[in-house]
Amino acid sequence: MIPLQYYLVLSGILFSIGIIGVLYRRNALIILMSVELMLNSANLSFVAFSRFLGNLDGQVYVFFVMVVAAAEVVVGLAIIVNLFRHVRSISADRANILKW
Amino acid sequence: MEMTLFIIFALICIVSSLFVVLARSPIRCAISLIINFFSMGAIYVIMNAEFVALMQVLVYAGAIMVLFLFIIMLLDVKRNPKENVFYRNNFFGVIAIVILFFIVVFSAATVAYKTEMMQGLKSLEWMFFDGSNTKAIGHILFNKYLLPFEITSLLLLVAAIGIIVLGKKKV
Repeated sequence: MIPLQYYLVLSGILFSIGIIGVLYRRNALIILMSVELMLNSANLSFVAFSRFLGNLDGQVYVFFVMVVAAAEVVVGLAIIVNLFRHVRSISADRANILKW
Repeated sequence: MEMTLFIIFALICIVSSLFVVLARSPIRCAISLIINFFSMGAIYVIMNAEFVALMQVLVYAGAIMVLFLFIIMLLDVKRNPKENVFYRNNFFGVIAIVILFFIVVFSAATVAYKTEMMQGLKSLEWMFFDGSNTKAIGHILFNKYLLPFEITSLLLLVAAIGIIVLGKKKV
């Protein structure tokens, strides 16, 4: 039997690594992949708590998080493709037209 | 035995997520993320959450990452290697993230709970209905969470319409 803290520590580590990816990479695709990493770590927390509290609601929430993550990735990729069409580059630095 | 498997899959998760964040080419990041999703699916199976593991492999590794790979192939990013590097001159950012890391991991590691709240530790029957985790989740999803379920179907419809509009060449 693996204690609850092990799952939560793994979830925290993956979340921090995802934050590093979002803040430090300039490639918009890799930023989106790091966001997926963070969502996955949240899913792991949900399932761990559901397992230990004896309540299946956590796993149903994971279902909804996955659906929302899929929709968000699809729309984000469409935006990146549009950005590429305009500035021929997917670097997040090039998306600066609204900057003052 | 369970602990050995968990340690192996947790290490694979952490190493592959570090590859996602640190790799130079987007293709390597995508493949590392696929490995990460598969090992997370294995961890869900260790937790006896088989439906979530199935969804993870089918939806995340099977649909979302395939979409990523298609877009990487379409956009052909190798032409400009300057995009694939880190910011290198942000020392305080590194300190802030290391502090955040330790706060998150420390607070997760010192979770204290009352043992009478942890009902799931007693037995696993609550997780299975008629011998199957999927049926148990189906029971809850279509009875108690029916409204969010229908709303997520609307959400998917809106997302599909949105990408069709975003992908048009002439508006």
